[in-house]
Amino acid sequence: MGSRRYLLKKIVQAFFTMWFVLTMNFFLFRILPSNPVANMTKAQKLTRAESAALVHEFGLDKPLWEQYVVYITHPFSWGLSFQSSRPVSDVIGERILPTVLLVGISTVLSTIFGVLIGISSAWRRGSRLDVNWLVSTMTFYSMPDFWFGMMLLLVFAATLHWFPISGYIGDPTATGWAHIVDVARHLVLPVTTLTIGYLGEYSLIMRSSLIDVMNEDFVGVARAKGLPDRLVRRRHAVPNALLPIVTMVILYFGYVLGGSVGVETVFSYPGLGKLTYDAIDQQDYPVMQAMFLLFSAAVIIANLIADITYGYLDPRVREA
Amino acid sequence: MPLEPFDQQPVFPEPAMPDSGPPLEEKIRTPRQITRARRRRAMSRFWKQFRQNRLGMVGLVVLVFFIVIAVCAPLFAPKSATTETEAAANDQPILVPPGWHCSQKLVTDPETGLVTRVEDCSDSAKVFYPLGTDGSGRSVSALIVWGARISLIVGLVATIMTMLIGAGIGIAGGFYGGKTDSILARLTDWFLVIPWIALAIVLASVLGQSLFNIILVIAITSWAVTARLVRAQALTVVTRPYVERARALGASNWHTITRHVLPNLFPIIFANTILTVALSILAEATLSFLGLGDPLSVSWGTILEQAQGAGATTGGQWWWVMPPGVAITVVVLAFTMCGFAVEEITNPRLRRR
Amino acid sequence: MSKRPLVAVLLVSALMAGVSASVAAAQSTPAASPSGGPITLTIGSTYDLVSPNVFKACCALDYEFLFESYDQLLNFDKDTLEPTDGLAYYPPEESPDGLTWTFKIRTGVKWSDGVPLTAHDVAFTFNFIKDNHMGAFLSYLGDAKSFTAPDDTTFVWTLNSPSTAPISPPWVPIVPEHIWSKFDGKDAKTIKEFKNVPAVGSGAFHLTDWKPGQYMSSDANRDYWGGAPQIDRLVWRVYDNPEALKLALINGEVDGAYNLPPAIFNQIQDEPNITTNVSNANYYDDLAFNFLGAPGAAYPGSPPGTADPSLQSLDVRKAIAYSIDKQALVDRVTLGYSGLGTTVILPTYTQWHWQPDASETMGFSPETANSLLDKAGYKDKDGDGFRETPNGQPWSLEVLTISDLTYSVAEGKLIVGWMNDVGIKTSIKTVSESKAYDLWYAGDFDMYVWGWGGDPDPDSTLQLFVKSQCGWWSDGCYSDPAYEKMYTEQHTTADLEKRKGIVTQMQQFLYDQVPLVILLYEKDLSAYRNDRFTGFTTQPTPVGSIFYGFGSEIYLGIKPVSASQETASGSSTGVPVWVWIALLVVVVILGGAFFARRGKSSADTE
Repeated sequence: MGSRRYLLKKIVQAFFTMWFVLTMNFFLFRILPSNPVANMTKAQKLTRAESAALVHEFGLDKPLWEQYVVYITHPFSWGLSFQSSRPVSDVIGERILPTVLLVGISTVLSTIFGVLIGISSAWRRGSRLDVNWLVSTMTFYSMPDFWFGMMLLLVFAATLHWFPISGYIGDPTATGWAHIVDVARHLVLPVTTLTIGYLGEYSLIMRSSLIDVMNEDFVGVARAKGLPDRLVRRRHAVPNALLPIVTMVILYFGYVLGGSVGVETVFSYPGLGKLTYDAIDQQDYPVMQAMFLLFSAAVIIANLIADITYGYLDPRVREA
Repeated sequence: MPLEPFDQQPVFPEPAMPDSGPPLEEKIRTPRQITRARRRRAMSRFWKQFRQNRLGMVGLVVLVFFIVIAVCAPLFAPKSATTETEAAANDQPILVPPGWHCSQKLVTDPETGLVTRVEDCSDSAKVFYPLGTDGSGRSVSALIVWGARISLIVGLVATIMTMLIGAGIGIAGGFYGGKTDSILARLTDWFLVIPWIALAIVLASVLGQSLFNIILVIAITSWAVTARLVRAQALTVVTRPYVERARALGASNWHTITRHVLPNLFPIIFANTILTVALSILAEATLSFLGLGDPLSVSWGTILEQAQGAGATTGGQWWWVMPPGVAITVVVLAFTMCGFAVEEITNPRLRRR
Repeated sequence: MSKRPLVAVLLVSALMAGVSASVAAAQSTPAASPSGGPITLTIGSTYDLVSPNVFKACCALDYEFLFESYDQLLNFDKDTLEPTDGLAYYPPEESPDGLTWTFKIRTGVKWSDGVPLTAHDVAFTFNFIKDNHMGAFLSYLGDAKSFTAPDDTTFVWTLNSPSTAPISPPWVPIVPEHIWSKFDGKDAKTIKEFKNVPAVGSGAFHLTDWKPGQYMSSDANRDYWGGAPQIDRLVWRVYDNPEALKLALINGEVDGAYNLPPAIFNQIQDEPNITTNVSNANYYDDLAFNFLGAPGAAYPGSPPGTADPSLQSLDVRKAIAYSIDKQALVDRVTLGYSGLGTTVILPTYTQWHWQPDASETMGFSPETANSLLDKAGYKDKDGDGFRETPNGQPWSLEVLTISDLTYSVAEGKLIVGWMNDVGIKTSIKTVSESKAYDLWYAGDFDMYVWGWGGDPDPDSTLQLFVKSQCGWWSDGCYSDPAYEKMYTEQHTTADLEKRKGIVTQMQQFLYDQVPLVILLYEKDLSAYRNDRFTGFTTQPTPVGSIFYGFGSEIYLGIKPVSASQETASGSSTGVPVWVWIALLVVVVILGGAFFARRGKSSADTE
């Protein structure tokens, strides 16, 4: 019974948070003085009658609370982009795959390497390797992630020409294996940037989590039994230390998404991050609103999954 | 040794014992004087410990260095060196790497229309540009030195705001408990969940771009982390015996908070403040890079934004791209190292056994 | 069971994949000119087509697409831009009162879908524009009364008052009636929603494919009446940033690059196999003043406008003009690749442009600016370094710049600095182009740094300053009765010499009245691979652009260098093979070390 109630509670909380985000989104953009219809017409001047017709079509002449109700009940109708007059959902749809590739691969790599390094670091705590790694982690943590990308781009692409300087693909007509290679080559530097940016965090968390676990009683018992270090580590310490890692990785997903904005801008990588940057640059409010919703929803869902996963892995939380 | 726990000190002076350490003064002192003396001793003890922490000392030295640079900026270059018109008036060369350079003259081939840049030392002396010049001909080193002011000030002021809001809400929640706490905790959770960059973009677009607005945006997106931390700590402090004692004696809420709760939270707030400055400086750099910063002022993030916009990264102009990032990294690292050092000293759990 | 061998295996396979990818990349052929396939000319640009809908055309590559795919009533002469034969023969028959012009339309022309083109299509196009108020082309119609096609080869243009509009030539693409007639009478939104891909036109090419943000592709019209193109396909590829475009040109990913920024253009001068071309672009940059809000400057339903009243003073505007160092703008913002701005008519149009002589030119002179401001009563009374209004009120101005435009922000920053130097408290505001339109329509600015494209016929530029364009194309709703008179005169006269005289007077008038300051005339910097294609020409010769003309003729002369196209020299990007090998060696060494350690400690397993 405890687990189902826990699940339900978490889902309800997620819904409420999503509602809060939607409401904030609505009111924030209503504060803007700009006339959204005028923006859409750009160089093609409308007569006042045409402009009024558009205002009516978008429901902008209804009272505020009515607009709000419509907005809340249609959270997925995002309107047209100011910049291209195309539906925002189309514009976003084209960009999802590149971002998923970038963020997904980076998360997997930084998790794997972060965990491995965190384990080695914790086990050799205080050694020169550990201290060096701590300092390197702190250094990468202090670096703006987009700037690290700029340096990689400068050195490996602009100067050495080992990798392409921008974009998602070089040849739009390539198919099959050539296309995969093309995409892979364009992904190397952006993925490296994001991976290294968050690798340090994960390794630190793994390290401190493992250190906490190693100080626990059951590890002392295993050692006293005469088990070699390696097995103590593998069979007892690490599985317990992984618990917070799982949730941390899912929670950090939100930060990685945010980091993709800067990184995609630097590499002119046509994903959701670059779309956000372009929307800021062009003051394309419908796209900005949609990105705000998307990012928030992604993080809220990630949090929900993290809560559920944590509850599944650690029964103590469920019964609380 | 950690800072003395305040809850083990008596409020009134104790009679002097024969072998209990340094003798008290003959005069009986007021509680306030005792408290102040106690605090002074705690601070000097803290400082002694901090001095032994190598990481923290390195960070502090670097910080002082940058603060001196920021304050003494006019000694390195006049403020006008950051304007494009000054560079134009002085005919400063555009996009030259570090070194000695004269102004550049342009020669147009009348047939093809091609324009070639020629360095012309006839009517101008060679000027040394330690970090070269940017796309408008401004000396990058002058920009870095003056950018330090903006980056540091925004970082510090945003942090003050963040701490005021975050600690305020955290303490209020922890202290008052009950419904107040659950509302504030819910609010904190909501702000924690929203990805800061999405919120920052939306806020900056709505509020408009100015120095103050950037500070506000950073504060609004950062307070929740502090609030959660402070609230957790406040909850433990509030249950301590002397707080109950103070309440039983009829102390007002304000007195209890300022005299008993706050001093106990001080160590954790102090450590968190330093780390928040680091994050605020990073946040300002990121927001400026994305074009949300104040267009009138030059911060390190703005320099990177201009470099990126002018294609310096793909153009290989490393002298424009590297220095601002190095400056940000070094300053943020320094704050982080200090923050970790402070955390190690004030939080016994973190220290090695 | 243990992680390490698995990790090692993964790493090694990743390295092998990397090596093969690197080798594959070195051998890959770009799409540009595969041997045996259609001869494709690929031009790279940082601009994209906004829309292939003919009536939505506004900017960027839209006009390129129109010239390639559609014909005009009359064409511009390749060398002089004078009118010449197009779909109709030049000269047409002019009635004695100058109000009726009769054109003979050539026969044998077909639309790309096979339907024959007749005078009915021509009449339909002009009527469509007139009846549906298609703003982009309206101004070329003159004061038209009617457009008719009495038979398949005759087109009659009737005017209410005389004008040279019918032979200017009118910059109007002729569209097929059988495609567009169903949109006739619909509202503007519906008309502009029509996708028009593939596009049915009569031009030298027809658009077959458009992927927004990526490329647009057109096939050659083998039966083109002006002569078949010597290439089979014309592709425009969009690049996100000019650096990528430069690399693409060097790698051979594209055969030509259009409108490169000066810094990048300088970098390719010494590249082998690349020919560069500097030409006069069809664009000027200006600082335009806002008059909306001044008495008399308004249109029905216009917003009040927020122009600072000080801009009404001619002395103030002149002072601002004198405070601007145009040579510095040319040298520092465009790296020398632009012409000093003077009058509103581009110097490219040599038969219309008037150049002020040395004594008339308002050059860079802060002293003159200062004395003009003093004379106008704008003095610094409180000694803070900035001037106040004659009434002693604080005075400040704002310059609006546009982030999307290459030079606007850089020019704006310098202008703001110079204005502050002469004591005018000025600030800068940067917005996106779409937001700028918003502010322009609302009249909510003091002055902005923007620009206009020119036209072979000066009318489109001169009309920007007439009262009736307020609320339409007028920058700041400037108007003056003396100017109105001159405009009407040149608009309705059919005598070319007389018209030239009036146009010269109008340029002088605008130069003296300073409704705007022309900052510079942009240059187009393009380049192409001379080892792939040859036969590039410009229009007008010699100062035109190789990739932007006033018709499709510039494409007709382009042909491949040799019949046999070799596969390209290969992409210059790719991790060198030695790096992969070095990594492989390192992994093998590390893996060996790990395995050795494992072997030792496995002896004491439980």
